[in-house]
Amino acid sequence: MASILIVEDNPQNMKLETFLLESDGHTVFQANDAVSGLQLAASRRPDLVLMDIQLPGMDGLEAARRLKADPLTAGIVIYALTAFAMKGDEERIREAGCDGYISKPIRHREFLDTVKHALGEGK
Amino acid sequence: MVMYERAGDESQWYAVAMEKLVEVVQDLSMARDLANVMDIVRRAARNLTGADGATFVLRDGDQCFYAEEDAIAPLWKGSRFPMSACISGWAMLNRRPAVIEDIYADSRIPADAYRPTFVKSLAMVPIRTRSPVGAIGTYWAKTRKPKEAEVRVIQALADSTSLAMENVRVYGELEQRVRQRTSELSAILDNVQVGVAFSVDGKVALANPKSAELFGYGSDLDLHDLPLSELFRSPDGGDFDSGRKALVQEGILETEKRLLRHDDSPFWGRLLAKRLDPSIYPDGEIWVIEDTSDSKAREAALTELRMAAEEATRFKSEFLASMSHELRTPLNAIIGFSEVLKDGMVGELAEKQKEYIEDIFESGLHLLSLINDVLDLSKIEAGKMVLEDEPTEVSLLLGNCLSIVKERAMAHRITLKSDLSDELGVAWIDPRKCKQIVYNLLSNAVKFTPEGGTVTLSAGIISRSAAKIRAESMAKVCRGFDEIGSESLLQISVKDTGIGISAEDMARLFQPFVQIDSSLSKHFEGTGLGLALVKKLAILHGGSAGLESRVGEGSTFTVWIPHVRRANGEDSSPDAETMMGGTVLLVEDDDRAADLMRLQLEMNGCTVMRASSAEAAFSQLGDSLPDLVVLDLLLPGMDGWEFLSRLKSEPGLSKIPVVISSIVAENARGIALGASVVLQKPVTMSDISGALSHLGLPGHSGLTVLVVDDDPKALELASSCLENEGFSVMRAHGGSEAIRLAREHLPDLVVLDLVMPEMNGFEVAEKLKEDERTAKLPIMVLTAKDLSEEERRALEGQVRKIMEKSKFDRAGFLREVKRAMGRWEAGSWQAS
Repeated sequence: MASILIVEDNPQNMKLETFLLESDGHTVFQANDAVSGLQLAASRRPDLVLMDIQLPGMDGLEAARRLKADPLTAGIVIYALTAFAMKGDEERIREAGCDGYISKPIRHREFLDTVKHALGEGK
Repeated sequence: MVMYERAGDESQWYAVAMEKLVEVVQDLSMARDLANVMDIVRRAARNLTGADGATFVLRDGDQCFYAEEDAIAPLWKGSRFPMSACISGWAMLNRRPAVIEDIYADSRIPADAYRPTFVKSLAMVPIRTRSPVGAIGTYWAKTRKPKEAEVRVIQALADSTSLAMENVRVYGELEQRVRQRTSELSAILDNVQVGVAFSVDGKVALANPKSAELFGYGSDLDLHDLPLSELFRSPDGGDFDSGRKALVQEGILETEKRLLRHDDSPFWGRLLAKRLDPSIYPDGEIWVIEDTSDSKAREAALTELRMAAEEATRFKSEFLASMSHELRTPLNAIIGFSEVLKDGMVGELAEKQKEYIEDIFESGLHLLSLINDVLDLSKIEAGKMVLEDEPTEVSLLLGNCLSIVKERAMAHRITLKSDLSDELGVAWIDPRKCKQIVYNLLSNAVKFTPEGGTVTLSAGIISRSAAKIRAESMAKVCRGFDEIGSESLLQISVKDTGIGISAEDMARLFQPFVQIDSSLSKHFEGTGLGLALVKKLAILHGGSAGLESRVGEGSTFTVWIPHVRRANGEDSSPDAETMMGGTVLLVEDDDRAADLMRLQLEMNGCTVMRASSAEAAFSQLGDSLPDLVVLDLLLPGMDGWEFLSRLKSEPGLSKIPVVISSIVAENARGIALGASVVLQKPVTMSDISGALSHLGLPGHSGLTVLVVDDDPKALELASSCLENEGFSVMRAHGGSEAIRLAREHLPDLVVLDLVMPEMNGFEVAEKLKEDERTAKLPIMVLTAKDLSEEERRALEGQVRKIMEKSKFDRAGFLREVKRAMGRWEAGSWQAS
């Protein structure tokens, strides 16, 4: 299966997402903030990055922008994980270079289907 | 003195006496009071006749009052005699002169009264013969008969006296009235709470005390003769004389401005000036001055309050937005993990465990829907909820809503019924928000219907008047039908066999937050928000919502939404002039699918011809060649595959690109047979836009967009976006330039900023609508302004789309530009 990097600061959500992805057979890398997320993305080159948007310090949008700007990581598919609240969030996410988004709260079937779709996109 | 004896000739004497009388009459005409009249008359009576004495007698009731006299020795001045007992009384009673040669020989004379006097002869004439008011007496000291000419002269004097007395009386009355009027006027002027000033020749002629008080003068007398330009000084400049010019020209002047008091302190004053009747006052004006400082201050305070309230609303919705974001984060774990457990992903659970986990899961979902409702409500209240109308197949949308609640209904053994009219077709609505309306109504109905009950969803198209009649029988309707602009309405009803709602509870429904802490909440968990949202969303769509219910029998909630749609069939050919080029032949046998696809294509600027079968398509291709063919595969008779391969083998037709749109999506086979793009139904707007742009359709050359923005950067950004897409762009840096360009060049679309100096976007839109030439130009607003609901309403119907600059992205902007242009020919479609 695939390798997936989750950038997420909430430990419970990290646990949930990791559990779901691993139970579907994926390899998961975890980062609690954007900076370590960028490092892991560069060193591990995952197939997909699931990026929480609200992160302490650098936010997920900025992290996505940097990943897409770096030739080394530009090819990695990025999906935002977002607790969509305001209109305009979708545009901002796309502008930052994300390839898609998954809105929270996640439902596991939908979540895994979307991940499957996202992985298909990278090929 | 006229001496008859010496004159010798009676007639000559008479002529001289009458000349003298003329002078007396002149004197009398000047007399302003009775004393003056009497004084003139007593002298004249002696003077004219040469008598030794004269008396002026006034009638005083039934007495004769000897008021004045002029004689060689005292007579009866100041005495009163009964009318019946004196000769003046006789003359008045008999209304003719008494002429007596020897008074002691005449029985009419009270001899006792005459004995102390010199009088031997007399002549007495009444004043005003018809109804005497007095008499004039002339007396001689020697016995002689007064001549007839003498009596005639005295009678003439008496007649003039009568006139003079009448004049005095009238004059006295007038004087009295003037005094009354004057005191009335000054009572008004002294007490009225506005300043009043009369001016003549530009100077104050008269002012009331309030004027002096307003302008800080000690007394109104200080204002006297003050030039108006000195009185009405304004700290804000402004030419007082030009204001007066308007007054002279139009006769009236009304203005409100800041004025200066005598000590230069300012106040707000409302001035009203009027010219006085020029025939009386050639250059007279009346000025009314009111101190409006207080109401100005109140106005300012109100504005401040309103701004504070708006600020608070903004703050509230921002708070709610971030709050809901914060709430979703822990909910993610709650819903996510409970679902993992519930679905046995970490092993089977015991019955009870499973039940409780399901409770946690359901409660999590419930909490999530509450958060969403609160957020949506606050967005609507803040005027931030914007409709995104698109052609939507109504029956599909309703079916979708039904399927969401199906599981819950089945779990409670509730029968779901639907009664949908065949006429629903494709409507211009915001599908997400309409789904929210219907879903809210259905989930409420399912929630409050006991086991074994029935929930019915019905929908149809109804005229506004019919809806109005239907609403009249309802217990509660949240918005009047006269406010609804559309004549045709989509009516959606959800009927349940639930517990029903009592009349007093109904009054409280549809209001947000009210139910949450009321007793209702026990019965209607969460409905307060849901129904409030339904109502607000219906009103946002320009529709209404209503409710009928009976306790114990159930309730029916109904929502009406303006229904705008395209007619079925092939005759609804759009106005070719307004299209952006790109003709599409749509080969589709299903009417509904064809309607939807036609709208989607038209919104992308295409002109659509439809053929219901492959055979019909070929015959249409014989008439004219389209730029594109959109092909359904499952067709009656010749199917889509065969059509495609035959088309690609015809030399004249093989170059026409084909887009396949079908439920059976066989990508590879389609491409192999020569299709350019294969789309799988249901096809969305963005699928179509994507396919068209992939094919380079439609071309935008020849289409002109006028971009109006005072900010050069914003102007350039929007313009370059459009130019890259092939549009011709005209740039206007301000409102008046925009109007000029629009009139001269009639662009295909105006992209308009709202906040601009000189002339703002609202005014530009209004001016364009006012002018027949530009009235139909589609306008799209692109603004950084946070629009209030009021402002949105002002723009409603004027503009096609309002887009916020903060949300500007290239693709979205171009999509809206194309949409706005595509809607050109529909005209009546609502601005979203």
